[in-house]
Amino acid sequence: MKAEIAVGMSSCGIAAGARVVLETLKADVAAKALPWTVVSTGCSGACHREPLVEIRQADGRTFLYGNVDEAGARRITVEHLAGGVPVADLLVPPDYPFLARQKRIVLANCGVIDPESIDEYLARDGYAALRKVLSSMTGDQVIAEITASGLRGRGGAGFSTGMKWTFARKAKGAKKYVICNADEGDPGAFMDRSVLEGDPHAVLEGMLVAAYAIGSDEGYFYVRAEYPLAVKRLGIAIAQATEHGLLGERILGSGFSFAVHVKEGAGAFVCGEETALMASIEGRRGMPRLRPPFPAERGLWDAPSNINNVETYANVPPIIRMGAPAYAAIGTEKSKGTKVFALAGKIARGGMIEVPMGISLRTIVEDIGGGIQGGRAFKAVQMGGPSGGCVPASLADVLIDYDSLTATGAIMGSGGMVVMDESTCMVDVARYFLSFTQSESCGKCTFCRIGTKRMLEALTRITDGRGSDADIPMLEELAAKVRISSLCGLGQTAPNPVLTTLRFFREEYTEHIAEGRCRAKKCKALIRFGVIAETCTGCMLCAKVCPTKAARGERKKVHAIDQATCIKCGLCHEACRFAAISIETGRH
Amino acid sequence: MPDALIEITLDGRKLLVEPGRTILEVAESQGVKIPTLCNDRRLEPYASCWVCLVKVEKAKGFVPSCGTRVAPGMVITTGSPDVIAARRMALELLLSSHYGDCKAPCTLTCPSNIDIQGYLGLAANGRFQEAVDLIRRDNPMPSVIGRICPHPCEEACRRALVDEPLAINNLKRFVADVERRLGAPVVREPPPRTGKTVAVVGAGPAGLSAAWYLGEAGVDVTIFEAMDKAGGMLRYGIPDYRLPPEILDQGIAGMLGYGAVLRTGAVLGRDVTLEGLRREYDAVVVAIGAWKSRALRIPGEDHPAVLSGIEFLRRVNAHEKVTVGRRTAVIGGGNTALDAARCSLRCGADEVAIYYRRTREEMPASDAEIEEALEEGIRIEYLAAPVSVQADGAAPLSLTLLKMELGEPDASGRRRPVPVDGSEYTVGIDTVISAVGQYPDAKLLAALPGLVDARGDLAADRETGATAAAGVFAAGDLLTGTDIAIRAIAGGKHAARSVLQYFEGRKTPRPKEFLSRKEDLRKPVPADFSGVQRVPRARPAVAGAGARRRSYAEIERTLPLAQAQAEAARCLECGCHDVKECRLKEQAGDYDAVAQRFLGEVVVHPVDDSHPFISRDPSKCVLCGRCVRICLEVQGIGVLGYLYRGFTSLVAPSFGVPFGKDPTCISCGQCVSACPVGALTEKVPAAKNVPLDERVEEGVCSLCSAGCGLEYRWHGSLFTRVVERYAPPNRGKLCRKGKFGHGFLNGPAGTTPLDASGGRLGTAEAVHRVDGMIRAAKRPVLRISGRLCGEAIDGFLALARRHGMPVEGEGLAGLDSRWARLPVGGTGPGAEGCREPGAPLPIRILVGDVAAANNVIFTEAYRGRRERTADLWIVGMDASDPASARAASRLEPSLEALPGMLADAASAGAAGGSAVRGATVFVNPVELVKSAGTAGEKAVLDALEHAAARGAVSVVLLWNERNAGYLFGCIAAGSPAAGKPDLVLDAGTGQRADGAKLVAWDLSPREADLYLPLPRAYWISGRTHPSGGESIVVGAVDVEDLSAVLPQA
Repeated sequence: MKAEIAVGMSSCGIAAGARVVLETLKADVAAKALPWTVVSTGCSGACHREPLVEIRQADGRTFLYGNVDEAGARRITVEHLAGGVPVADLLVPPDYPFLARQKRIVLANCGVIDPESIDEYLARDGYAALRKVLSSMTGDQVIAEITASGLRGRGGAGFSTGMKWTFARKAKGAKKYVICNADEGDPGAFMDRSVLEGDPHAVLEGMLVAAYAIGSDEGYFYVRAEYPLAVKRLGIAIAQATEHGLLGERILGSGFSFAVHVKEGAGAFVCGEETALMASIEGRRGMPRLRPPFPAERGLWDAPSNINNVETYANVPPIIRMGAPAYAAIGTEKSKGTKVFALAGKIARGGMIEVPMGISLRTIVEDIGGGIQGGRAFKAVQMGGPSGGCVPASLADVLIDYDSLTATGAIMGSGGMVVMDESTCMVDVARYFLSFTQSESCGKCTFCRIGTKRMLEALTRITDGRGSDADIPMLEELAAKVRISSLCGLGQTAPNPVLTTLRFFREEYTEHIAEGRCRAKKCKALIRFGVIAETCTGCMLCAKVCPTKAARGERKKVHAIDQATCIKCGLCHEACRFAAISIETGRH
Repeated sequence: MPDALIEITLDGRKLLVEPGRTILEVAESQGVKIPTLCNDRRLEPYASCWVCLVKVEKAKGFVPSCGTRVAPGMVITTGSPDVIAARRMALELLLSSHYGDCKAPCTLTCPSNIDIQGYLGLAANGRFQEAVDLIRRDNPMPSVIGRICPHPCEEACRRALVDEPLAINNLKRFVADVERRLGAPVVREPPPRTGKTVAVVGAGPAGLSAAWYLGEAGVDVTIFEAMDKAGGMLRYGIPDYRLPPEILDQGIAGMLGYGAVLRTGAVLGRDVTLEGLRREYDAVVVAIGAWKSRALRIPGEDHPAVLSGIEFLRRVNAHEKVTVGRRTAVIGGGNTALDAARCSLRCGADEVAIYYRRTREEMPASDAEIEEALEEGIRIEYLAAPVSVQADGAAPLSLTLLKMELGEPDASGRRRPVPVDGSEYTVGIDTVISAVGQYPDAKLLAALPGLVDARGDLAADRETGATAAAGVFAAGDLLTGTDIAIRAIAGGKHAARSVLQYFEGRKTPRPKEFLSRKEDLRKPVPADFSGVQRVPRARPAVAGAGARRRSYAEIERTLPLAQAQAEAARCLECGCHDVKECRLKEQAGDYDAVAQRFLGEVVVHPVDDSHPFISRDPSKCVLCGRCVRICLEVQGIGVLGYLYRGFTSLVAPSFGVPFGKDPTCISCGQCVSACPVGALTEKVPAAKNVPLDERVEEGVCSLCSAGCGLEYRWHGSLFTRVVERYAPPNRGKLCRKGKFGHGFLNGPAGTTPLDASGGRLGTAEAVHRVDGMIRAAKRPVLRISGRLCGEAIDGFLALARRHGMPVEGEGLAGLDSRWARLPVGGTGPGAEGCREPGAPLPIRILVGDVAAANNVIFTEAYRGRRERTADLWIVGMDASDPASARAASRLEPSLEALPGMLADAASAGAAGGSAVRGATVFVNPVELVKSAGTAGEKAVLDALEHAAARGAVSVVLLWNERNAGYLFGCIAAGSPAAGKPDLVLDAGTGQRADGAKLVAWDLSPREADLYLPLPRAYWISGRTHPSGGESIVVGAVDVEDLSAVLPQA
């Protein structure tokens, strides 16, 4: 076995400083002429420990280092590579709980192989699924296999992938398209980006299998332009696959030909909706249209089209390789396989995880994520981004499957999972997500365009302390109608954050309105900062950091905060070393 | 074989319907009304407005009925409470960001809701009679009200945010005086009689108004008036210097124009009784006013020198001899007080003072009258309340008053006067006139048994005037309390409507109308009008204070013509142009929608008036997307598109350039016809853009021979616009000329019929002269351009037949088979005209960029090809353009291919049995020159002429702005008539007549516009035709030249 040093070089790693680590390791290894190869790999998911460096010794043993900086990289070269002694304080233990409870199928290669090397992908059974279907399966057989696997769309709605493919296969038309939806846009979600950056060939292979199954010879990757690294690695993968005869005319000598294009989207959230996405590919404004006809019948350029998201396609090669029964053995009765989540928010260990369906939300938050940062109380998990809802801590034992999550009012969604603690104001959360969907509404449907705006205004009034008793009924009335009177998922799900927070955290709304109180002490209009005379030492630190000179006082004397000039930035509260700054809320 | 019918359930009814239809279409065919804003039959379903939502069993949420096709077994609910509530919410959400005024604030403020914007616009456009007619719909005595109204409308005028409000009342007076001076009959067409009779008690403004509106509806009215003369308070309460009696007399005469009988000296309770009237008439309107002065309730007020203001004015206005003392004190602050004070001066008083217990700000009298009184030397003492009048046995009297100060506002919102302790003071006085309010005469009320309540007050519905007695209605001051004259007139109007409803057995109150108002969402601010140029308000001349102090001559003059028109042009046109047709307004009314229910941010955009024909007000846009889609999907252009996202989404020309600056716009007007609200409206082709009721004249466009169906819309003699028709051949489409090229109908050419010496001619005379010319000729020939419309050619052919005149002409070949064929080179009796039925044309050849010249022809030719009713060949157009490639069954990029194409078409036609029906060639001459060059163009034209001459093809040269005056009529097919003509009647070909006398027919004397219009009358003018012959112009004769009879500035 070759001795390798792998550096996680996905966007998350790069953002954490992996480039310097990579350069340092390369330089040091070269300078010392050590018998090691330094390689790049994708994201292993443990984003909270980036930059990550894995030492793969020739003897097969591996050591994972986390939070490696330039100095750490030097120590690794000196102590571990040259000296043979692992750097204990940087090691991520092999039984690290973040990794222990995961089941990695989609992410199997992420953080392991070099995503820019087709050889590494091939070395790990890459394109075996494609070879298998081309050599031994008909399109119908492929679809039967996918159907039997129980795979459901990972983009959020959870429609049966096998059924979708069946419609597209049965649709009449000489020309058919296969589209990969990589327009991931939920705030806090980065599953598709990580997969494309970490294992692009897997997605391409899944798409090829789909194309073969439905009888398509042309496809599109619709990737948002904000994912330059994903676009770049996809381009490399396409070029490599073409070179290897895995893409293009008569693939692997079969009768199957396939050409693929990458279309970079301009970042409109609604372009993740399939009909809007196709309009965007066609060069029109990304606006959803009426369905039926569904894309399987009339899609891109009016031709039958199959559209799945990145994670769905990435599931296809493993299913073909392991066989439907093995895959269907993972998960629950109606939700098979695994799901990738982007774990973010107030969680101790954030990152990208892949878990088997049927695991409980609590396991994810507490075991994998390590609970809440700073030991504060776990309050809720926002699932499915702006289209999803908030699952309260009281329902944390809910199992991760499509139907159980829908029952809570939230949705599986594409995999965004934002963990919230007691310092999160749920009205403010609803307001935040609604402001996102409102500004991303394409403007077509009345209820979505204006209804969500009026809801947002009501939420803003409430968080600004200007709410009235009429606001909650109006929110409920609007929310109820917006969800059933909009053309696409954006509008239909836009009220979800409001509805679920009203369902589980209604008292926070009424406290804001009736008592002028924000229990999370987040809503600036409802809080005031003060000085606790008993604990204030007159150290003057608050006065020093206050940008408006509202906090003031003489040395060694109790300070005070002038309410008229205080802008409630909270800097004094953060700066005070004696916990002498109070935050009060509620009408006085 | 047609698809089998499928069964669905619509609102509980089982129906068999054709598959493939939408729920909306099926519901419509079943008479179930579903509202929609975004659906357009010219477009694919879109589903953006969600107003058409319905419930479908088992479907998730509501479904848009416009875009959901029926399926077997579908169970549809269209009118359940949740559906209604959701539709209302959709409308209310749209209304919450629909910023505009349905009607102008002036109109809404006017008690009678006169269409002020409408008549100001008509006045600005010189349509004075139409202006008066429009006023009279809501105010049948405009010349009277135009003198005396305190005009609350002007308080509401938005122009005050720019400079000063419009002089609305002066303009009303102006147009009314124009009518008066012209002596035009007020009633031009008496209505059919209904046989119903109504008695009106009281000939004041309310009673007269009721009589007018009942008379208009064909009811026989008798008015019973207690006084010697009709007019009520207008006559006996308003001094002559404000309202000359002859003006009032004429006004009243006009109001009796429908034949109402006036019986004066008939006092209720003495000469007539309510019971008697109820027996004798089918209904009774009681409008006896409020003629009793409210008492001062102070000691001494019964002294003979203390006069009742209203009684004083009655005597002055009845021209009785009235004397007052040297010093007169008037108590009160209303117009009666002011009038009494000013009349006191004219009755001989030297010092007149008005005592009013509040300040000028609260004074109900109109500002103008206060100013005039002050100018005349009348003193007004504010914050003074009378306490007592002392008569010490001898004159002078003394009047004791108490100083007041203003306290808290009272129920009326005015600050309550509070006495200042110990502030009494006494003034010497000769006469006191009290004018502190009026109320109805209790004696008269006593004569209305059953109509009064326990306290002796009238009991009636304020809205309808209905009393407890069936068929008896109250109106005017009796009903409303003392108020201004126009409110009494409105009351008469409403009472008349109530009576008519009573006759129909209906009791419904006045129908409620939804009205969008800017104030409901966001109050307009001066910055909204920053682009408006400041123009001072017109001020009529007034007599000097010195001269008028002792005179009853009218003080104010009528505005002169030029000043009046300029003043009318100041109107900001607040009211929406789409008010008569707005779908949102209609549906909001149907669903009781409230605009303020979801009050929030409103994005206000400036109005984009850069386009020559279209006004764009994005603040009213509901983003239904119809304009965007029709421009792109039907016209293939895409000028309008969406900008931004979320609530700020906006429909605008690409990149936000001004609409008029977008070079791709072909001004077809499709966006305007698609817009369900007033966000896109066509401009009236006149000086002032004004929304008006319209008269519809169906017609066929006369600007080329395509034969597009359209409607000419008129208000009186004002041509307002062209509206497309939805029938073949154009199916709701028009080209730029068809839609916006008829503005000349309002031009000077459309106004005055003149003969060669400038004398006026009637229609009959004009036709007579043409006939004379033809008869005098030895060999007259009619030459017709194929560009003329079918109806025009029909008309000319009829003329030719009448005279046995040979016809020369181009082939006429429109899109519509009804206009398919003009016999070429035929002789008179044989020329059967273009209505000869012909088979649909099998081949259409487009030469050059026909889409640019006439989009209707292009899109319809494409439709013919798509629907396999005709073949479409295109030559000389960019073959790489996917649109033309998709459209054509044969596409030849080079014009050199044309001769071959023509030969193929001819042989195809011959194979079909008739060479003449073979093909129609539509040519864009401009493109011809561009793509072929001058030499090539000649070759192409030669080929066309040759083919046309052989009768193998028909040729239509398309006209557009850019090829104005170019090339028309040069392809005359067929041979000239035998023998040399000595008179050539030239209908639009523009050719010279070698050696013969040429008479050119045409509509407009503008040289470039050789139109022949149809629905207009004929006359002869002495203008010279560009081709050198005499010109006979065909056009409209409606409006008289008023300048001679009007006061000049």
